[in-house]
Amino acid sequence: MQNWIPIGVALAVVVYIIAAFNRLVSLRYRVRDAWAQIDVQLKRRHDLIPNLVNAVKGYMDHEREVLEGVTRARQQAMAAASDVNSVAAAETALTLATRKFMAVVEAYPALRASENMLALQEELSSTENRIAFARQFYNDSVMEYNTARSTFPRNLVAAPFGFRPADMFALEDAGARAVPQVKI
Amino acid sequence: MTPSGENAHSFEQPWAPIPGPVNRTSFFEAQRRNRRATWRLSLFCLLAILFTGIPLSLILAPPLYGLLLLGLALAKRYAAVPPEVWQTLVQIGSSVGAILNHFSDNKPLPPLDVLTYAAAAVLLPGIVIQFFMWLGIRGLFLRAGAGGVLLTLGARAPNEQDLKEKKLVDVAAEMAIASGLPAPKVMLLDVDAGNAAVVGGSRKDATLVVTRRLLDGMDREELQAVVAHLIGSAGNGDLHIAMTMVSVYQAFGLLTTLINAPFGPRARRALWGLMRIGFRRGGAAEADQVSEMLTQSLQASSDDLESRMDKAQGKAGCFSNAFSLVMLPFFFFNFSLKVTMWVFSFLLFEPPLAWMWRTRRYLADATAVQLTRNPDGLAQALQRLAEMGGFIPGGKWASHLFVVGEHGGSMPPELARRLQAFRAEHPGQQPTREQMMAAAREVMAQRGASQFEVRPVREETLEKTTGGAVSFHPPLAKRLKRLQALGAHYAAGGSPHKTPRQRAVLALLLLFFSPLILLVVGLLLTVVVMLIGLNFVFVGIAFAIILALVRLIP
Repeated sequence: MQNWIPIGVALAVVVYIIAAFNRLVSLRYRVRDAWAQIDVQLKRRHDLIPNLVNAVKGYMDHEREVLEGVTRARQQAMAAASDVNSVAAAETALTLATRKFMAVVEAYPALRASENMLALQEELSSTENRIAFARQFYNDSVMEYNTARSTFPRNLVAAPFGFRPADMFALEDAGARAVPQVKI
Repeated sequence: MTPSGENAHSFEQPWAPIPGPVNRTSFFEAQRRNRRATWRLSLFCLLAILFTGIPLSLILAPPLYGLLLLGLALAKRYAAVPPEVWQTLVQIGSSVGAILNHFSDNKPLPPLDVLTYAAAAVLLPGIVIQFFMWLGIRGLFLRAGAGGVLLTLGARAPNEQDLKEKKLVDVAAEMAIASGLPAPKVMLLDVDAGNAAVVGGSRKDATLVVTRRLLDGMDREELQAVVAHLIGSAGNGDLHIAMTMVSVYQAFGLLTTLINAPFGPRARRALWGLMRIGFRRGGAAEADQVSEMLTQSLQASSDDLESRMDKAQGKAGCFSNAFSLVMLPFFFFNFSLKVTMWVFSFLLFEPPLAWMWRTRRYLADATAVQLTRNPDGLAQALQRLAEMGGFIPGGKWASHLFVVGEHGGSMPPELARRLQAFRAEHPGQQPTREQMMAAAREVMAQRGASQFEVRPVREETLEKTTGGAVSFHPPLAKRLKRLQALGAHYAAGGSPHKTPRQRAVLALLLLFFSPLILLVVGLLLTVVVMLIGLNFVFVGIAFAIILALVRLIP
């Protein structure tokens, strides 16, 4: 009988370690998955922008600056390195450029009312939302993962198995939060 | 363009926050609280359902033993029945008889071991049968998924050319991303009601069913909130819970259907459908129809045995008279089973079941806020749904899967009148958020001066088919109050704050009516006890006659 108590305790500890390890692994996979989802949605936006630019080209030739701004921001975003911070910076620039672009589009009533443009606009706003929600899900997943790996007693399992903290996807500068002012 | 929640605070709010008893909580905290409440209540439900099994087993015991004796009597002709079987049966009979003697002849109560032996012998067969029936039926229907009946109501795929329907598909995809689930299928219902439901078998295989009216009457933020509620509900595992919840009714329904099967076509049709599901024929839609057939047989006056009896009574003549006499024990058995189920579901297990489901609605609301980060959107959407009215013809059986009950919850009549007036003035136009807020503020201000009643609206839902009194959907006012705690600025329709005087009146009324309520409950229980006793006598006599006849036949 006395032998069973230490064996039982050891067994419980082993079971706990296995459970904690598996939870950490699944949370880490979720973080990776969420990051991949952001990538998918960013690519969706990259693919959408040429369509947008083509749709408005005929109407707003003299807004060349805005059009080029969007195209340039897209190229930079596509070329950005794959770590969280540089992607975030490049995509923030692209978000700003597209917002400015859409604000300019608003100033052309004929363009605004065209069916094609309405569909594209819906597509763009949905894509923007998808990016934002993918980012939100990524950040939620990161938060849950980081909390799980740093709270006691799971941190005793996380440290030896090399579960490193994950980075949040944050908007770096205050400029990204401001609503763009457009003068025409 | 970040999700609207982040935007909403970057510019000045066009309305002043409505003062009120707002206890701010985070949506994570709200989710935790509702999850805990679900656990507590589901434990309560389990106990209530187990307890309901006891009287049902008492009713089931006489025919079960009767059938066993009949089987043994027939088997005896072809093979020797081991004497232990007879001994056990005699022992059971004598111990039950000893207990009955105590009540009829005032003999002393038999010792405890005889009591437990008799109780186990009477209760166990029924409980075991019901348990396995429940397990089996739950397994069958879990595979088929919840709410398939909605897809038979003329649900169609969205038209991608239509901007609004495209928007719905997009919003569903966005919310799926926000919750980390695969994008759900989307179906549309062309009915004049504003409501939406999630149906399907699991979180990975969910379908949203949205009415066209809802799409027409809502802006993107509100639509997003409704879709987030539904996806959040599926993500929280509500589809599975809904199936389990309904499987209790299905199992009880199966019991009465089995009893009715020899007497009429309806029960046989239900059993045939059940078999098809067992062999993986027919889809989720058929599964739901079968489920509806099963639970319909629980209703007071809609089964084959009763229509048989009615027909027999209609005809004069000695044959039909003899027929009804022969049928009487079966009829009575069926009747007492149904009445007992009704009484116990009404008194015992339906209220906790409904409350449990309500906590799932609150949980889905909190999850929707987590997904959209926009409590105002959901509050506004619920208000709009209350205006639209959510009745889906034919969708009654799946109503618990909808975002609001069939009447959308109750709205203060004052506000409803204002909105009607607005529509009359501006035909074909929806009031903007600011206009609705202004109206709501005025109503709130008026309420401070003079109280008005909020008349509750009865809802035609799952509970109606089974005779319950508690709605499976939380009232709009309570939902809005909780959303307010999560940060919504929208307080229209918030529960009227009861004054101490009103509370005192309510307490007095309760005090006055509580003996009456207790009396009704006592009467219902007495009826059940009488039914159990009479069932014992009737079925016992019937089987005694049948056994005697079997012995007479050479």
